[in-house]
Amino acid sequence: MQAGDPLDPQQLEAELRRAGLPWAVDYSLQLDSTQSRAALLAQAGAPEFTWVIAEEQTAGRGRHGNRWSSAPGEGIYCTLILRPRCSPVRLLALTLAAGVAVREGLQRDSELALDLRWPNDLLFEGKKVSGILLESSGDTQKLQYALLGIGVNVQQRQFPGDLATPATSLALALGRNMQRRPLLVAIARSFARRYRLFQQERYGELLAEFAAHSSYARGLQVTVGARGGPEQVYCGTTEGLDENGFLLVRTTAGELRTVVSGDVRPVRDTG
Amino acid sequence: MDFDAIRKLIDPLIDTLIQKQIDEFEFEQGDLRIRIRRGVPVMTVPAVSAVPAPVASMPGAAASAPSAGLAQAEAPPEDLFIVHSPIVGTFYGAPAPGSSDFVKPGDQIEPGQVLCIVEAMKLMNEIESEVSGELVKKLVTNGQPVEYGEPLFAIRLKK
Repeated sequence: MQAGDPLDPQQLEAELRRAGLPWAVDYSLQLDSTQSRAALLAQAGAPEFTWVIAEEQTAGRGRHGNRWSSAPGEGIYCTLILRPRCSPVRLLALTLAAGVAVREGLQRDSELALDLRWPNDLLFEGKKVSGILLESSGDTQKLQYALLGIGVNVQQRQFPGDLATPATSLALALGRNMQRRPLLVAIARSFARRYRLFQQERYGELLAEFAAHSSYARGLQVTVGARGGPEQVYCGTTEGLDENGFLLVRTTAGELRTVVSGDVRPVRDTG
Repeated sequence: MDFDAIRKLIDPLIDTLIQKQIDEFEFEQGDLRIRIRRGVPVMTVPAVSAVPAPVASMPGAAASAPSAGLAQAEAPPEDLFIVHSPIVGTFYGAPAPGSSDFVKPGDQIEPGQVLCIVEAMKLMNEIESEVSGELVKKLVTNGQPVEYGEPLFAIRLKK
C-alpha cells in the first residue's frame, strides 16, 4: 500500500518540528475524512498546529460535498488544526495564503509550473493537482478553531472519470515519482511563514503574493458561476483582488463585480 | 493598498459621515474603491474587533446590498436575539446538499450549537449560537447571498 513511500509519522513529526512551529502529527492508515477527525479533535481541545494525516480517505471531500479522490498511499490527505485569534472575515486572507504556501512547497524540488486558480486550487495545465478547504467554527464574534484541509495528488497514475475538475498528479506532470514526506514538510515550512504574516495582520502582503502567482488575478477572461445559482452566470475579465481577497471581474457590459463565492473558470475551458 | 492603510484612510472619514449624518458615501480612484453605508445595527459588531467602525459595512460587502434586509432588524422585541452574519458570503442551513437543516424554528438552542454555514471563497464558516433560547425565525433561505451584518436568525432568549 505504501510501497517505497511510507509517511512514517514519527520521522515526519521530527522533521516538522525542525521547521519552526510546534507541529504535532495525528496519523491514521484510514479515515473517512481528515476534516471530520480534525473537527472531533479540535472540539476535544487538540492544540493548534496538529496535522491530522491519513494514508487513505474513504469519504474525502471538497466544497459542497464534492468528493476528493483519496487512493491509499498515493496522495497527501491532511488537515491542519489552527486556532486563529481573529474575526471570521480575516480568514479570507488565510484561504488565499494557504494556496500560495502549498504551491511553494510543491515547487521546492521541481520546476513544475503550477497555477493558482482563485481562491486556492493548484492546477497543472488546467488540471487539479491540489485542493484546499478551510472550515472554521465559532460564534459570530470569535473563532474556536479553523481546519485547513489540504489534498495533493502525488503518485496517482489514474483518476476516477467523474471528478468535478479533471485531475492530475505530480507523478503524471513530472514523469517521475515524488516522495510525500519531504513534500509535506516543505508545505508546512511554507505555510508557517505565511501564518506568521497572518498573525501579524499583514493581510495586504498575503493578498499581493497570491496576485503575483495566479494567472486568475488579473487580465483573464472568465465565466463566473455567481452566488445564487447557475442562472446567474456571467462573463468578464479579472481586475485584481479587493482588500478582502475577493476577485474583481469587469463584465462584458462594463460593470465591476465582486466575486465572493462561486466557480471562476477561464472562457473556453470545458472543465 | 493593505487593509491597515485603508483603515487609516476611512476611519476619519467615518467620523465625518457620522457628524454630518451622511448615510452613504462612495469614492473611486484607480484600483481603489471605497463605499461606506451606515445603518448596520450596532449590535452586529463585536466590541473588540478588527473590522472598521460599526457604521461601516465591510469594504466590498456593500457592492449590491439592498438595505431592506438590514431594516428588518430594526427594533426587535426585547427578548429576541438576532444572529448576524459575521462575513459576506452564501448562507447554507445544512451541512451538505440533501442533509437536514442544522436548526429549525421551534428548536431549543444552546450556546455552541451550530446554526448554519456562511461560505465565501471556499471558506466554510460554521456559525454557532452565543445564546440559549428558542429559535423563532430563520431570516434567510438556503443558498442565499448574505451581506456582512445581515440578520440570519431570531432567537427568543431563555429567561
